[in-house]
Amino acid sequence: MNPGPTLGLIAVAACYTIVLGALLVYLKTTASRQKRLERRRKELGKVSF
Amino acid sequence: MKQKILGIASVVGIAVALYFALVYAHEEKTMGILQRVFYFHVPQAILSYVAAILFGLGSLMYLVKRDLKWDRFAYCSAELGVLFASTTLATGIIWGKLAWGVWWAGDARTNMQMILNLSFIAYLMLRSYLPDREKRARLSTVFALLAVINVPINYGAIYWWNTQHPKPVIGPAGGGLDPDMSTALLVCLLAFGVVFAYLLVRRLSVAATEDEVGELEAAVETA
Repeated sequence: MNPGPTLGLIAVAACYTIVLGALLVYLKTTASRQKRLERRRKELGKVSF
Repeated sequence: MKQKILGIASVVGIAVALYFALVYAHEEKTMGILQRVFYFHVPQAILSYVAAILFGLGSLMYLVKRDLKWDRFAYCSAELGVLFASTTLATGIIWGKLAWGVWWAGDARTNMQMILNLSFIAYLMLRSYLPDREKRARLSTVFALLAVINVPINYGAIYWWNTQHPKPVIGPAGGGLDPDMSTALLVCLLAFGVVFAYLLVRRLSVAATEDEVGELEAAVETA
């Protein structure tokens, strides 16, 4: 049940990194998608104009 | 402006949550430091349920109102559902390996959480195969029903069946937590709740732009 301090610390660090890393990756992906869409909207705006 | 405030609150919230989870709460005697996984695992699981409920609500509202903003709401909630259900499973798997000696216990709770995650993924996959915007919104709502049905079964699994997953320490029939542990859990839940709201608001804004660009592309093609 108790894996000891070293293994326990590694597990906690891994879990926290996975959670925060996943949130950060999702946020970065969303931001880059927004930038790409804004660029495309500008291009299409020029074409339709 | 709303996004900026939520963004700042998310960063501050995560920093505070880390302090409460790693420093403020005392170390549990049986599991030692490993128990600290709980402060991140439980909020992720609760927010994956919240995502499923919002996903169901968005889909239902779309069926009633036929307004695509509700479909966008359902779609964005499902995406967050994948994110939070995946982090729940990942943290649970790591904890399970050290606490139980196996990566996957295969009990009712863990299996239901996996099914919840798969129903979010199936919904997103189905959408990507349907090019027609209205048809995509209408047909994919069936997966929202699956996700919503999953939530009470997932929650009740540890009461109804003999599972490896620990019985809850909070809620009905919970064994209770020491006050500092309860505070740490509450702070983590609030912090991740703010992060969830921030991600949802941002994703909704991207989804609105996606629809706008899609309409512009269609207009350019027909012109």
